Amino acid sequence: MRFLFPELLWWWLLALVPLALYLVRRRATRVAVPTLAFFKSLAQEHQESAWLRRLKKWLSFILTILMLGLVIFALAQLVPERKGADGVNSVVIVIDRSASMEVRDASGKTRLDMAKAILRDRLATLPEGIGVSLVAYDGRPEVVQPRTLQRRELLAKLDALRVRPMAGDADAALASAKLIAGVEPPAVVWLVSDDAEAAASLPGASGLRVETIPLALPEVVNPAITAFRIRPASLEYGRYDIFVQVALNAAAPAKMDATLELSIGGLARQVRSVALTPGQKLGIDLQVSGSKAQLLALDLVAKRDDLAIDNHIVAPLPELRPIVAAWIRPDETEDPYTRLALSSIQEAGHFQLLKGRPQAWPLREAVDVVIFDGWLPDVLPDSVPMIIVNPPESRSELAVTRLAAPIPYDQVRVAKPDHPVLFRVSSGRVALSQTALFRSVGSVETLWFAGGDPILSAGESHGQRVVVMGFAPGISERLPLTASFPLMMGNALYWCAEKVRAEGELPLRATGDLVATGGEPFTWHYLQDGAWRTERVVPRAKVVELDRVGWWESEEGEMGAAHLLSAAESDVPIGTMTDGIEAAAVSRSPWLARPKVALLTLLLCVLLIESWLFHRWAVY
Amino acid sequence: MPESSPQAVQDELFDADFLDRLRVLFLRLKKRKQLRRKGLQSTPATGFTREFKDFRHYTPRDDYRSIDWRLYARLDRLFIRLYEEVQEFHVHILIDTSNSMAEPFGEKRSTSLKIAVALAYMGLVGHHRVTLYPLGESVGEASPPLKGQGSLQRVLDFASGLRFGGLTDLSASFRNFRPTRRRYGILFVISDLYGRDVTEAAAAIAHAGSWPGEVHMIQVYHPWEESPDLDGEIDLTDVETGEHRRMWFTPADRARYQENYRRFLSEVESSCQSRQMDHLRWRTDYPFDELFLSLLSRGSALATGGT
Repeated sequence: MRFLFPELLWWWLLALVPLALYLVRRRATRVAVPTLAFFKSLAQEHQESAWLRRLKKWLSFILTILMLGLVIFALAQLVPERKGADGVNSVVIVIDRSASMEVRDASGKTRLDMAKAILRDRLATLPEGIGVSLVAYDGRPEVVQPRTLQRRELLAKLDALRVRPMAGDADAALASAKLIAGVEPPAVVWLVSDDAEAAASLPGASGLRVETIPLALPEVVNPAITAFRIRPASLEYGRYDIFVQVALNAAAPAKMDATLELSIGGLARQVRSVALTPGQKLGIDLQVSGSKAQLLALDLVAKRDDLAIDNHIVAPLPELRPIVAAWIRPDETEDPYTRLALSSIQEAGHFQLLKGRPQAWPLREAVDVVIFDGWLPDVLPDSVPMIIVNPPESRSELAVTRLAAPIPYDQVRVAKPDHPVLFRVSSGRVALSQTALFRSVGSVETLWFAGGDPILSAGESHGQRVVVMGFAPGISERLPLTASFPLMMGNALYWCAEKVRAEGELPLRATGDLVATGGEPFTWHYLQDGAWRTERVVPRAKVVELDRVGWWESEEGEMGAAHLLSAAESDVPIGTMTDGIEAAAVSRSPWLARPKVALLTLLLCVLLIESWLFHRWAVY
Repeated sequence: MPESSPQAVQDELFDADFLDRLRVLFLRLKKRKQLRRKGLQSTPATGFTREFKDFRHYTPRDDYRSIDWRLYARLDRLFIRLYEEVQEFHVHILIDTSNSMAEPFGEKRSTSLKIAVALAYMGLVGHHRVTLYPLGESVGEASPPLKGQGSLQRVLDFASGLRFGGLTDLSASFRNFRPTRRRYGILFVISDLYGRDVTEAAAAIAHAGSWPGEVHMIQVYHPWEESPDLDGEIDLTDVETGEHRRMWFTPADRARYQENYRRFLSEVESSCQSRQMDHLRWRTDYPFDELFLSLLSRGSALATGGT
């Protein structure tokens, strides 16, 4: 314990006054009266023995000294001993309000609640002349309270802090704190976080006097969904590919089993049991059927979970749009193998094929991919990906030499076997007839070589993907007859249209991201305190921060979802909560937290006792 | 209280100035009586006894037999002699000599003695028989019946010789006191009327109701007794009994004490009035002359029949 105003302890000299009064107190006045008859009825007689009277005088003296002491202690503000605020002019409080601060202890208090209690306790013991600033951080720092001497205002701001389901960025917060601390040096930074020790070692803390207030619990179990992705399945209409990554925090005491429950439109579709190991991530691929705007819900259910906000994914299914391709040939005759390959894709999946002659170029319809088969426009388009089959002549960056007679090759040399265009394509038994020599420039790279010349290339030109095939399937021996050619065509189509397909995916975002809404109202469906809530939001700006876990829809029908999906944030640390333990002790004994109140209460009790003794019992 | 010699007490209480004031009082009383000419025991202003009372100028309607011819011969003016029927009283003066009259306020003792001497003087001047009694636990040895102005010194000697001390037993004293019935008596009790408790005075006054003659209760008290300036812790000692009481005296206690004391005075007064006794509160700080005149003008036979 210490005193905020120790100079007031000189007031103890006032104790000399009651001491002197006690020592030279006025004795009982001896008065001779003609008769006692009129006095007998006034008060009770006091026929105690001398030692009892002396004891009562001692009691009176002690009570007086006690009252004086209590008043002095209250004025001098007796407070618990505190470190970290000595010799500083200002204190910058950097408080973590990221998702992991939502972890609750056995009593149901969140880490943020505990942080508030500790800070309230600390601020009560801070000398009044020290300015205090408050910086709260999640994904980005916010100066909640600039430097102030008004403790009440500061406490109000502190009480108003809420956990935001975002990943924390302590480094940026410490950088902000450094700027604030530089205004009124020397300053100390109180870093309040469940991962305070790690945060204090970040580069942003260099040059700062940082006092950490760790809040991590000794044991935390947090199974979480740390990654999620959904997109329409390739070549399958109404089906979606889902990737889910689940993990158990590294500090969890043991392995545990959990259940991953998936539902579409409120109907349970799949249930997966997963065995979680502390610190390890587990990827799960799922495939579901559904239609646009149906809600997909994914829940990770475990026996124990100290942080529930990262266990749920709810998102509307993305819109399905077919890939539209245009096949342009110079004459009526179609290469049967190419037609067969494209037809097989068209029948198997969500694919739309337009056919045309060179006269149709440029196309009036918007397409995702254009296939130039034996023909090239004068200028290669830069607005659409293209697949060039059997190019007739050079165009801009593509230098082509038409062979007078096709050159048959009974094998090809694979240069890029892992390229998406060659996914599951068998290159071993390929026999091709090369019809053109081409030399690519820019980022187009060769996938197959026939002899020493490229015969299959893929890359980007003018920002659009390009696949070039220097052979004619119709005159080739073996490739068109195998399943590899439709696969290769399909791969080429989906690789070229990948950007288009990506646009069809659900715009999944992490909480804390900023999205442009144009200032239009939208409706949030978000998770809070374990329950789903709906709120219509009218943004005050054209950019909105995604500060909730859930999904939204605009009045124009646009949808999106925001989830924590942060492996770092879900990896909740453990630790020894020194100040937290102290705060817990404080919460058990609120009198010790507020010695001033305790002293004043004690003073009141003493006054009541004295009043009772001296007036009710007439102890003189 | 240290005992003083009788002569010292006499010199202190009854100096020449006091005796002069008594004479002045007597004259003032006489003047007042002439103006009023009426009283409880008044007699006709002139009578046919041979007791000379006064001279007065002759007027035509006066009885010419009353003309004093000798005076006419000397002064060559007509005067008539006035006579009255003289009525002789026996004046009993009881002086409370308990310790409460002497301690802690000696003013009560001196005042009571002065009253007694003044009354005795009035009685002697009025040619009454005057007897003084000490009053303590009982009525003590009285002075012999005194008469005539020449006995004033004996009165003074007796008063100076009174010893104050001891207890008061009002009830026993008043019960056992039997003044003579041979002459009309006037009884003066000079006391603070403090008994063992506050009700004893009323009981004693009941006994005094059987006394023959006119009874005057002169209650002497000190202003401190009416309103004690006590505060805080006090250790009280009863000067008569030596009994101690320790208490804390507050302003509220003072108010209650004053109320008790006023009630005591009222009860004593009402007890006296119910028995046709005169009662006079004599606060020692009030002017002596005024109170004494007031005493005698309240219908005292001493004031009316003695002149």
